[in-house]
Amino acid sequence: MMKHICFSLFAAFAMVSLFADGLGISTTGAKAFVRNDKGVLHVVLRNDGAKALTGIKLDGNWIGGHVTGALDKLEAGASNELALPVETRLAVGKYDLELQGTAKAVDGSAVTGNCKVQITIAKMLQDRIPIVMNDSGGWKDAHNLGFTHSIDYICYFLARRPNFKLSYEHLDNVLATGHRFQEQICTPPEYVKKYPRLDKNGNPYNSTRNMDVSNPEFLKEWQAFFTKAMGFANTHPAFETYCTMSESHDNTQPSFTKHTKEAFKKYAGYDIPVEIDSREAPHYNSIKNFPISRVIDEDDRIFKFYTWFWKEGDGWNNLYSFIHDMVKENVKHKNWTFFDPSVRVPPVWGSGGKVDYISHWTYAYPDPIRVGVATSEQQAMAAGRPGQKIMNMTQNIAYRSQVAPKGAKVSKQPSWVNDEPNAVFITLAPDLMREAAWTQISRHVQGIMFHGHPALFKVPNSKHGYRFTNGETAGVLKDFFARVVKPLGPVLKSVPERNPEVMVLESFASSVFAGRGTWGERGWEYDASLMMLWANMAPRVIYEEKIARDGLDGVKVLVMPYCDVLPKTVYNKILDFQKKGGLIVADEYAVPGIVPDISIKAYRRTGDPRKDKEILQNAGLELRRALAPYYSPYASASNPDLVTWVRSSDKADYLFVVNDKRTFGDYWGQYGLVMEKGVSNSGTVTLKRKAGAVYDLVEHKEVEFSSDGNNTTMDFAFNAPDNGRLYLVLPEKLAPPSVKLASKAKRGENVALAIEPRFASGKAVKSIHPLQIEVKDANGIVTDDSTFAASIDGSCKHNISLPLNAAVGTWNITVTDLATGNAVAKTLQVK
Amino acid sequence: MRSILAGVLFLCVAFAYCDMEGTAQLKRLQQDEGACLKVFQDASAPSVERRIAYRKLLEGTKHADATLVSALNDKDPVIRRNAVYVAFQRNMPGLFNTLKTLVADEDFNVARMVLDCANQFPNAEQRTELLTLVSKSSKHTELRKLAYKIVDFPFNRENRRLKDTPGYDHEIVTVKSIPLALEGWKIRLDPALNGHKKGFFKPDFDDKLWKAQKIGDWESQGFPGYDGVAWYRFKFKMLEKIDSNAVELHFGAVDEVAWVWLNGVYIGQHDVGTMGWDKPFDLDVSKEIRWGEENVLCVRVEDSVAAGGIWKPVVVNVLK
Repeated sequence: MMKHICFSLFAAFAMVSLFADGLGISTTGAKAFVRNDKGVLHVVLRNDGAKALTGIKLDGNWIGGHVTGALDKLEAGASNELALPVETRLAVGKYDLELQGTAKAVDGSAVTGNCKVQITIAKMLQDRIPIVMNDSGGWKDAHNLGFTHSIDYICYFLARRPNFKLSYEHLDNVLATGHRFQEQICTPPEYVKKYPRLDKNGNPYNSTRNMDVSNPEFLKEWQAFFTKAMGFANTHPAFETYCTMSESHDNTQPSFTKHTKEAFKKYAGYDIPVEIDSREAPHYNSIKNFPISRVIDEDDRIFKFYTWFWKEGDGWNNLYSFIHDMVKENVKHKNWTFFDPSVRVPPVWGSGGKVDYISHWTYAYPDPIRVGVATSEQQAMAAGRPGQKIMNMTQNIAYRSQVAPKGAKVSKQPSWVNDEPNAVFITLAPDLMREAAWTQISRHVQGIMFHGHPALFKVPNSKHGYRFTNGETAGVLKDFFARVVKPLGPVLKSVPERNPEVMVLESFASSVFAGRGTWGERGWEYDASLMMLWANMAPRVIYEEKIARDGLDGVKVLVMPYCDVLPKTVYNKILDFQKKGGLIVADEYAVPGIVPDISIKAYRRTGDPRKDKEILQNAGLELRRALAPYYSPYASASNPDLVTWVRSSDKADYLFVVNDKRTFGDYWGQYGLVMEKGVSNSGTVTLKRKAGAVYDLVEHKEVEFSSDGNNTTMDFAFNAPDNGRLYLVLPEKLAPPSVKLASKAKRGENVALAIEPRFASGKAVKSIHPLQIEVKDANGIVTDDSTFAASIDGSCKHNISLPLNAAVGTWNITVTDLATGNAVAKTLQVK
Repeated sequence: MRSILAGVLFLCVAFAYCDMEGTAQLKRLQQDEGACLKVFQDASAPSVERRIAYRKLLEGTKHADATLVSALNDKDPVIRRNAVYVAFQRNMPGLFNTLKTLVADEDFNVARMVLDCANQFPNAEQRTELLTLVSKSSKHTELRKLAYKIVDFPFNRENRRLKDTPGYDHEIVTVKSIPLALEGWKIRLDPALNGHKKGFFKPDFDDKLWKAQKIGDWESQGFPGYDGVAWYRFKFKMLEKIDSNAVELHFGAVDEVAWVWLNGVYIGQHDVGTMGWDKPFDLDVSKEIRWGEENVLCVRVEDSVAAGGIWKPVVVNVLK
């Protein structure tokens, strides 16, 4: 007699299970597999009877073929798991598989069981740029808006719970959509008190996150737990990205524990200098006999300590590397690690350790193009670890105290104040979001991130500290992702930055001895970059270590804000640069041995955003004018609110233009702290090059321009709130691309699609070039072979992978050049 | 502003053609000392070119000394500043007298360089003489004060509050405010400006003979018409330690300038001149506060106009 018991533990745990006189068959783990990836179905066999079973066989037939497994013996009450390879070369969809189990009982009688499983073949993910909601709050909302990744539930936290089990049904559903999850690692709260950093007197610092992460005992203890947590993450490919912690450096302080003191002595050969008391060094003014040159030896004891402290001594960067290594070791499916905010540290290499990507967030006010400066800082940081890539991030939120303070009396109080009178964090203004997002993608980044899910989606009765106060902002992102980021993602990821000509030195020595530094968000050094962005001088940040390592070859102008103190090697390289004809721009704080070619004056913001912007814009233009007899940047604009950024590939220029013309609106503007409302603007942009054609990559059409041989000028007209453009400037006009595809193929075969973008002259387009490939099967369904793509070095080779159960008949393949909108259609007969 | 922008557009285009010529001139200067001499002596030459010429001449042997002497009086303050530095580094003959003449330089950065050189002058007597001269003759108030402090009052500290912590990306909440009593303060005038040398700020200093004082101006509490320096001392018991990220002292207003010590440690100053008389200010004392114990607060106040003293309440704020 067979007894069928089917149960599910609870809704979140989909486990189909049938028991037959003791032989229970169920599944665990993923039942959704990405097409063409490795598929392994985990089947649990359980003997619920009173006596052992032997010769257990498991068989199943489905569209994917025969599935089989075997087990010699299963003791009474015992269970065992079989890993059964399953076919994934099937068309995207859901398929039923029925597993039949047979076994022998001790009396020789046959025992059977079965189990019905629905397997999902999820779509392949083609080349895409990650769009990460670095926050939790509902993955479906995020996915529907266009995000590719978000935080949902976190193994790292949940693994602490006894008897925790993942909801694979949930994960399978996510996988099927193409969405992926972010794991968020954080300072383990239980270890903060156990492993405190100790101050000079041996007392724990008064800070909640100031954990002594260098402590070998902590690392040992934590590794065990972390391995367990990653064990969960390893069981499902929906867990793709791993943030190795956030803001952990913020409260860091030198720790005077035994092992830290020993570590420094091993590094330097002497004890921690007596002057060291906190993460801030004594000001050079207060250091006896500090050289009047303000040029220090790299071996200066205090400098050496802080170099060590910020690169490795405080332990955090090593911990990120440790986490990175553990993720790689424990998670076998596709994964990538990142750390943010990576430049909330002094300007010295090392932040984030070995992570795959460093990222950094900025608030898009008072000036939304500021994310461009932080991105440049990240590029300077990543220069210390060749191969490390970067992403950037905009906060969906604003500190109300900084944009529209509670209690401030204004005429025409915004309506949201009545709805959210006690809000502390509110939704970013939509025009600022749009402008920041355009600025984000204008830089060579490998992904973009956003934080503040609750500020984008209205959730009834939400208790979250982030309040939803503007419904337009989410729409701005949705539109931007759909029209710009997704179609152009592969190109945006690939087109490199131009070789820098104007560089801004952010001095680590000055951050140590003079308290300088932007910390990724503010200060004169930051504003120096901003003023040159407004002057369209394409400033790029450089760190001292880069100068010491590589010199300044190729650089035309070195700008030195707040360079009060310099290491000797860097100082000498700068003098050498100047002797070779390089131009130095410096403020009144520069080390006295350097005579700048052009002087600028350090500026401190007043808090009046209109005045600050105007002063900085004028300062940038004045600098450009002073440089003009000796150097002219690649791009220029007829007004400083047209902010350009150019990336180049071969003879192609990708010209980004952001309209930064803004005024005080009716969302925050009443408070006078942020100009949050975009204003229409028009003007011209000129590049120092000859051009034969210019295309709007968002509108996919040719645009007018004039070119006199040395300069190419384009008109721009922005009707608010529109505030971004991306043009492709080429030496000649494009023709439709050449597309080669076999005329027929069989199910299961891979079919090569070769695309070669061409100029009208017939020459190949060697530069990185945007394309769209659409593949429709014989039923007219768009398949997951469809993608946006980038042609590199003259060609794009794509693979159409025909499923074993592909629809037979005529498939239609359309290749579109995203510059011109020209489409080339091909057919494929599938048998 | 619009005219500037329009002009800039024109200049950008115009100079696109000029930059080759300008660059060629810079190259000439890098290679030709004679051309450098000519440009350096031409006060109307572009400052970029004059600075290159100056640097080049200083590097050579033929005109270096004369260039340096000339540069000390150059019209370009950037050149003057560097010349002061180079003269000091090269120990130029007559350096002491040269610095004396430059103490009164109109340009702040040049004068600041002179002060820096004075402060590191090898001969102690001459160093004091130079610093004293700066404290009296500099045309820049900030430098006069700085020189005075170097010579006679070495208390200066940049006090960084929690809100100013680099990268602090959190809303700050005051979890406890403890107003200090309005009465129970003690005061002593310091017309000789030597209280700091007598250790008035030390926790165990005997202040029994000091006069009692309330929060309020000192004019109405026994010192009518007094303008100058006075010291306050006040003892208070701090509560037992609570979970927090920082502790700050909030001064409602001190008329005019204040220097603050807590438990003998110098905390910082409120020094914005006469305009500071009614401005509130806060100082971080996270490291210096003694939780659950008696704390000794000492404030040196300088008043130069009308009423003076700590005239608005002082509060200890515990922040998270």
